[in-house]
Amino acid sequence: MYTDYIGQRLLRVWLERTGEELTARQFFDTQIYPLFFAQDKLLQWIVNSPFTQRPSAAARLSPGGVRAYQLAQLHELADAMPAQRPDASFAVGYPAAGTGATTSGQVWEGAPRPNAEAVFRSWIGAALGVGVAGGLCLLLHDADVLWALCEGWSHYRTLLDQHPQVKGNQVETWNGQWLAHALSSSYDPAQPLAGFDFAGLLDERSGVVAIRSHAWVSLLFHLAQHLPGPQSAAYVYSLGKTNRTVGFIPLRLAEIRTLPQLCHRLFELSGAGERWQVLSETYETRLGFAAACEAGSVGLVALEPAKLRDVAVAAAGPAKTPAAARQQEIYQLWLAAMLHQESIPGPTLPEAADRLALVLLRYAAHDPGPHKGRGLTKYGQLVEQTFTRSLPGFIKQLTELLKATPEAGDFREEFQDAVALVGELTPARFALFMSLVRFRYVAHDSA
Amino acid sequence: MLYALKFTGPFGFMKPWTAVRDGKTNSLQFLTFSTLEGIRQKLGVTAIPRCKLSWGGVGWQQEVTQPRGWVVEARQQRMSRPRAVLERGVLLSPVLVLGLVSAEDAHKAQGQHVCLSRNEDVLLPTGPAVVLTSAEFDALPGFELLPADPDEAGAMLVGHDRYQANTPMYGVLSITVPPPVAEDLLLSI
Repeated sequence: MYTDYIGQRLLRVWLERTGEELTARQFFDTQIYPLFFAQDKLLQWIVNSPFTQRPSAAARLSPGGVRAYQLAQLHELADAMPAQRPDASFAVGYPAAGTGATTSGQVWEGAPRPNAEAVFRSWIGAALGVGVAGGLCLLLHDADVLWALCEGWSHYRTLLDQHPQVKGNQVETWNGQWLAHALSSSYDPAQPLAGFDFAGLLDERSGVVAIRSHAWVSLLFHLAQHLPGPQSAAYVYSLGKTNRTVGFIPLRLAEIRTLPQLCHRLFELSGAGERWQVLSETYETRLGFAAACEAGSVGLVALEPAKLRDVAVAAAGPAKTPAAARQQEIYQLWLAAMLHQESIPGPTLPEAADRLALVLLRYAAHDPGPHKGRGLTKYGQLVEQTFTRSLPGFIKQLTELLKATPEAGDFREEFQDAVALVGELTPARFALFMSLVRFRYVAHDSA
Repeated sequence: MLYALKFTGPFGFMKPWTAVRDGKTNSLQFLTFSTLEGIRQKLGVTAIPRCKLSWGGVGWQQEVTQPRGWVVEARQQRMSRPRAVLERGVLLSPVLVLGLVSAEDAHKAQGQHVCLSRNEDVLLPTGPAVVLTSAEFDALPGFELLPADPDEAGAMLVGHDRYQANTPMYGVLSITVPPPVAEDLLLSI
C-alpha cells in the first residue's frame, strides 16, 4: 500500500523532469510493462499476479501473445475497482484475497478502497523498491533517487538480455546495485553504464546465476553524501508469500555524514578522499539491517563496526596485515564520530583521546629500567592497566603512574587535564573514550 | 505550559497501516495523529497537543490468529477457522508521555490506563502530572510525529485519519535522544 504513495511521487517527478503528464495506467503501459513484463523473463515477480500465472489455453491462443493477454487481465481487474475489494494479486501491497486467508484479520473494512489508478500506482511503486542484503527493501522519497531508479530499469533489461544465464525477477536487488552506482562520485550521466561492472555483481549458487544484494551500509553512505538535509524517510518492508513490515525508519543522514568528514580530518596524510572510499567499501557492521531498524531510526549507533567489542576485550595489538590496519582505522573513525556528537567547550573528545594516548606513550617510553627487548616494560605494564572502563579505576591507576615515576612533574598536569575531561562523561561515553585512547595508543606505538 | 503525564507498561504494539498481509511486523515507533485522537477520546480530555514515546528494546512475540471468515473444507464436510501464528515485534517497557493542556485534564487522565494499542498492552499512569514548558517537553527523550506537508523533506504517509474522513496523515519524525537501546554500548576494554 505504501507503494501506491511512492508511485504517485514518481509520476510527479516524471512530470517535472519530462513535462509529460501521464496517468498511472499510461505510465505502466508505456514505461513498465514493455520492460518488465513483455518478455518471457520477467524483471519482477509479483506473487499470484496475472504475469506469474501459468498461461491458460485462451492466453496461449490469443492473437497478441501471452503477455498481452495477461496485461489485458490486469486492466480488467483494475477496472473493477473500487466496487470490488482489492487484493494482493493485482494491487501490490494490498491484503490477501478473500476472508479465509491467514492474514485476513489484519484488514480494516472501513479502509478507503483504491481505484484503478491506485492499483497501477502500486505497481509503479513496487518497481522502485531498493533491495539490500538481508532481504529487506526500502522505499525512498527523494526525487533524485526515484529518477535514478526509473532510469536504471532499461539498463537492467539490456544487461539481462546480454547475459542470458542470469535469472530474472530481481528488480529490487538491481535497484540497490544501480542506486549505489548512480549516487557514486564516479557516475557520469552522459555514459551511465561506464564503470558499472555487471559481471562482478553476479553470484552462482546451485547452478543459478543471480545478482548479489548491495550492502546496506554502503548504500547508506551514498545516500548520506548525496541527499541534502539532516534526515530522510524510508519505508522498510519485504513482499513475498507473506509480507514483512519493518515500518517507517528515518535515516539520520547528518550523523552518518560525520564519518567521511572525520575521515578527512583524522587521516589527512594518506589522501583523504581515497581513504574514505577504501574504508567505506570494507565497512561491516555488528547489526544487520533488520536489527538496526529495531532502534526506530538508523544513525551512527547502528553503524557500530563488527567485532569491535571482541577486539576491545582482547588486548588490541598493532595491526599485522593491511586489512587489519584498515579495520583499526574504521574502529577509530566510528569511536571518534560517536564521541564527536556532544561537544563540550574546549578540545574535542577525539583530539583529547589522541593527546592522552601520546602522553601515556611518552610515559611508557621514559622507563629507565633495562629493556629486555620483548614484552612490556614495567611502565608499559602500568599503562596497560589504565585502559579500564571504570572511571574510579582509571583515576586510581593514573595516581599509581604518578607515584611510580620520579619524574611525576612532567606528567601531572596532563593527567589532571584528562581527569577533568572524563569526569563529565557518562559511563557509556567514557567506555567509548577509553577504547579510542587504546586504539590511538596502539596506532602511535606502531608508527 | 504543558501538563506532562507519564504512562508506562511492559509492552506496546501499534500496527503500521500498511501491514495488511504480514507474517512479521514491527511496531510503529511513534503515535499517529488518529491514535492520539483515540486516546484523547478514551481519556475524555480536551486535547493532547504533544506526546513522546520511548522504549527499552524490541521483543519478538508470536500471536495466534484466525482468518476473518470460514474456510470451507468440502471433503470433510465442515467449515473451520484454522489457526496460524504471526510474529509481532513489540516495544518493551514503553514510556509514553502525554502533554495535556490543563490541570483538570491531567487530573482526569491520571486515574486511567491507556492501551498502546492492543488490549493486552496496558500502560498505567505514574504519579501526578509535571508542569513543563514547550521547550522542556521538546527535550524529553523519545520519538514524536510532527505534522508536515507531503513535500517536506523527511515527510512520510503514516496512515489515513479515521476521525477526519480518511484524510491522509503526513508527518516528520522528530527524535530526541534515541531510546535506551542505543545506550547498550558499554564496551569492555
